[in-house]
Amino acid sequence: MDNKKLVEVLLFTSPEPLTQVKLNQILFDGENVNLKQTIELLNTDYLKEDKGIKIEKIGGGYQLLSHPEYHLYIQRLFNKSKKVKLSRPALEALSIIAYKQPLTRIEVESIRGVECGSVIKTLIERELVTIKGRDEGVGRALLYGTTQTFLEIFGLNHVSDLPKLKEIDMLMNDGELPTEKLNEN
Amino acid sequence: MSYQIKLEKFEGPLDLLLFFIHRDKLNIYDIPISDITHEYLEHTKMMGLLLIDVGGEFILMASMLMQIKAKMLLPQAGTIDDGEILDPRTDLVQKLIEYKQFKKSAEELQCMHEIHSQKYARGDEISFNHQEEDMTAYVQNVSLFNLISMFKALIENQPNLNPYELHQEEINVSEQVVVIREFFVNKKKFSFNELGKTLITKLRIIVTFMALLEMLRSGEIDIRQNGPFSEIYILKAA
Repeated sequence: MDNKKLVEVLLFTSPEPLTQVKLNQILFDGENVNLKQTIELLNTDYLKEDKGIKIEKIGGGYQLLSHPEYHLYIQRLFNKSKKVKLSRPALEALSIIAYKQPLTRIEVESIRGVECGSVIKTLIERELVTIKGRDEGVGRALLYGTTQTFLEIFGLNHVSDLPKLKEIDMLMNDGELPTEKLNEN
Repeated sequence: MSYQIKLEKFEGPLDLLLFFIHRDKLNIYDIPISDITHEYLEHTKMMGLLLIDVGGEFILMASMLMQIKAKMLLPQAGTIDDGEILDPRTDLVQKLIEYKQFKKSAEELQCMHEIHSQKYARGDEISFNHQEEDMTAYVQNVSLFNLISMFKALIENQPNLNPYELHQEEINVSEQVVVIREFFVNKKKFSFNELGKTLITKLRIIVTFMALLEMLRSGEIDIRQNGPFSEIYILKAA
């Protein structure tokens, strides 16, 4: 058995990001494959051979992803874009939740300065946000946090991979968004 | 007939303030509170004119602005430990900065998603095929406050129309008294509803009602009702 080929076929067929835990379940007794190392080898091959695919770590697991350059063709193949449309208020609430999770609705509202109930409801329906528990304080308000879907849609491995909140002075300049961080995996 | 359109709460008071700060290139740390309060109130007034629901949060912010404005007019009494003068705007500035930070990060999230959505994985065609389109997304680049500014300018720049006289329907109490008297020509009493049926405009109803009260006061008529909610009759006083 060739580890590279095994991991490659699993990635090729798996509809979900592949994790070491999942791989261990798949392997027969006595077999042992280090997923991370194998992925690195595969990615080196892909890069060397200039392939149209690349393996990235999304939401705690590995996924075989197509090269962004060809997205328009895939879009035509599916007749649908993968893009999720979110309104600005929804995005704002989502970013507040992503950075400050777990937090209550009131905390989101105090930052946005507007009522956010319906926006949070939309985010929950879209499975981007979920209830993570209850606040210890008075009223035991619900605490919200982001989901696995959130990580997958925004191409993040973990919430800690979110770009750092921009320094205030940079914000005031209203400069262009730096993109280098966005391409990291 | 009027249309009622209910939108998701798009912009809040903080958006409005950031809109001014951005538009007038103001220094967020040194907001001209008097000017901005004036602008803020003007804009919320316009929102009221446009029947946009100016929620409680807008009113709260207005009162906060006025409080800051008042505090700034007063000689500074409170100082913090190191003797620095406490600026009454501090809290507001912090709120604005924090909010702006998240507005920016929301844009960044959008960017990240756009980049990532160009990379397809196995199974994507299934999970994303049934996604409903969010109509609100199509208006996300239109700022409510831009519209309101336009509306405000429109109203202010409206040319004065040549005034012309509208001849209003002549109606007064004494005339309606005569109308009511005519009801008594053939009968001793008539019901309130009977009278009501002959009245078309709101003004006419009001004036006729006043006429009834006037006649009741002068003792010309009497008003009777047999029981709660039953027909009200108008009788000619004996």
